[in-house]
Amino acid sequence: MPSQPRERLWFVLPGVLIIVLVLLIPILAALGLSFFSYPLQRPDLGIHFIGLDNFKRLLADTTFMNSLWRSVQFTVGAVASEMIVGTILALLLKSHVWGKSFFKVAFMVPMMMVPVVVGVAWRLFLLPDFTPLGPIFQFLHIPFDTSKLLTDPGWAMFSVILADVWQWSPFVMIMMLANLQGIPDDVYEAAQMDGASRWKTFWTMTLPLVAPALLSVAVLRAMDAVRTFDLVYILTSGGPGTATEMVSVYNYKIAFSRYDMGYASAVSTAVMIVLAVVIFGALYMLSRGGKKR
Amino acid sequence: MVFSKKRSFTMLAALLMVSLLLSACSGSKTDSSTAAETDKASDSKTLTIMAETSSHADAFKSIIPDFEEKYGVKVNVVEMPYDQYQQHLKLKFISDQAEFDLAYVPIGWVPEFQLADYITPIATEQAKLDELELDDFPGIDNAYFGADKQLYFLPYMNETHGILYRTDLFEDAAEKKAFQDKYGYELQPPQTMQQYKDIAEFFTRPDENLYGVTLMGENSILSGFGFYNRLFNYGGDLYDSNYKQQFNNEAGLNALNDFKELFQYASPAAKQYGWSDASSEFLQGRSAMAEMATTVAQMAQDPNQSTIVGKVGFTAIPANDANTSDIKRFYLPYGFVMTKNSDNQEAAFQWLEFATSQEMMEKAAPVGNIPARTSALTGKLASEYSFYKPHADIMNSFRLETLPLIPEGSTITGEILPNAVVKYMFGERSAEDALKEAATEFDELMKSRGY
Repeated sequence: MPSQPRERLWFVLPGVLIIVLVLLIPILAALGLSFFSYPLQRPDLGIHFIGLDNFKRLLADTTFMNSLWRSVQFTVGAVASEMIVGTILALLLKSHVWGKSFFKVAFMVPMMMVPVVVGVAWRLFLLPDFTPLGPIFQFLHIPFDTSKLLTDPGWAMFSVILADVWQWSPFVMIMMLANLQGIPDDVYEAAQMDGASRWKTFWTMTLPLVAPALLSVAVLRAMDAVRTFDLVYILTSGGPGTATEMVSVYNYKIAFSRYDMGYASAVSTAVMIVLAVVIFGALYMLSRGGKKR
Repeated sequence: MVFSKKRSFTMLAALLMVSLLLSACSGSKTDSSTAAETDKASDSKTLTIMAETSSHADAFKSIIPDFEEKYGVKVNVVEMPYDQYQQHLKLKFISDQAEFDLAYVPIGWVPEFQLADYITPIATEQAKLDELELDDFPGIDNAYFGADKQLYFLPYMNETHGILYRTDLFEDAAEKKAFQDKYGYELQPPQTMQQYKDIAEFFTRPDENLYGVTLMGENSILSGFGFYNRLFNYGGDLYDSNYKQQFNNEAGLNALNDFKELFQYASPAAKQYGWSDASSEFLQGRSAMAEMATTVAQMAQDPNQSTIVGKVGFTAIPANDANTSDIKRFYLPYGFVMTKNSDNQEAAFQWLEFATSQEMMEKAAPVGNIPARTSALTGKLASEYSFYKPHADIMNSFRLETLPLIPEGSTITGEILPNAVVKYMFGERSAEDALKEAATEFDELMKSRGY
């Protein structure tokens, strides 16, 4: 067993190298590029150092601010819904239901699908000319104009959230199911002997016990939701109008429609910073919660 | 060094996984691209052509066997979807990895490639240029670039925008009578914008699953075209000769209002339609007219894609009145450019001469191409393809121009102005504010690029 610090370093080195190569270099390259003007459409203009100009432009860019706000709306809407739906499914699968194994696998199918395919499928499902929802609502006597689902700016965001919830609630379900199965049965037996109702047992025992896991899953999903691109791009292309143009779509347009690579890097750097602050805040809360217990 | 059987197996498995991973990461190249690269290494007489996945690429692919037989040069076509194609080409050029000889592109991409010196003139010697019979290509003047005006682009397909209409509906006696009774004039392909609106209104019958017109409201160049055609009708333009915008004015406002007004005669879904949604609606017979390009007229003849084969006519998008001679319209030439790094430039020229000859254009057209040569448009195929004549008429009766031939052209036509269009259509901005914002973005872009 190596005892010298220098020898131990050799064991750490491969891991450090991988982190540097895979993680740090691309991040630093993007960060560095955000201080330059680099119009890819005009290679004749070259690359010029412009200091903080891209970031100054970003702060005055209302389109960026609006797209960031839409990303927040999407993330909060999607992640909150996924947490609720995923937890309910996990609770159902933990109880004694028929066909548990089948449902466990069946619920996971959406998660296995490629986001582009999910986008295409939901687009066909929701486009007024194709949707089967019209006759269904008509049969149920629900007066709802299904043509709004992708063409009305307010409903379009709802539709994108719905597609994301459909795909990613199973992820929450799996994670929560693993946590729920880790709670010893005697906790519930003790609660039962004390006469606690099922609702009270869930609210005062189950929920606090799985809360750290819930927060971890929410953080993971939130990181993913902010970066969501393919689903939105296929489903609505950021429309109708710019109603679902989230920051990932805006960033793509700056990079691959305007080919303004310096500004595109500034946009992604800003998003990374915002995301890092929120995530570290959440993780700090998580660790403080753990210490209190 | 001696490896145990177990270790050898492990290494083999690792190698296999790495190869699988690398092949998975290699993007969306078709099988032919892999073959192309392999062949290129072993055989210098292999011509590699990059192209967008499209019916016109299918068309020129169909004549590859004839070329291979005649010249003994193998041709491989690497195709990818439009969305990825432009980025892929740019990245290949910028990283100096353009290992292909020709690229099939819209003319709008050429200025950027030429300015950056990624491509080389098709030919410079007069004798070679004569072999191409360039006078037979309408608009060939637009294919010359650079300070010394060299031929960098050879058209293969010219596309125009127009109105596709259902001849079975337009020629139906009962429909004609009902239209005459309601509007006081004969039902025929629209000659003015007012007629276009009347006809769209007349055929809007959601209860019969029929809409007046198919439009595209997606935030892309497709909704942009709807705006540009009307902007030109009112005397506006994108910019003038000094690169000053010409759309934030009365013409722009009228154009936005006209375009939005027409959506009331389209399916509610049209506000989100892109190319495939829109073409599918028209080809499945769910609308009486479609404001789209000639490619859809071509697709309408294919029973595998269309339920209205033989029932489709094509006409120009009208001006505000019948006089169109000074009204600008965009046309969309697609064609070939030759990469500067190509070590097969002679074979590349042979391909260009071969593929764009009248004979080969006529042979390939039925597969999915609209020939760029006048002789092919007016030749033996004219009787079979009824839209060739109106297509040729559009090219002769309007003031035809290509999309802006500056590197920033695609950003202006594909992003800045379509953004204004959809923001107005969906009520995010008033028409005035949408155009004002677009004008500001345009000015900032042009200023930052030194115009």
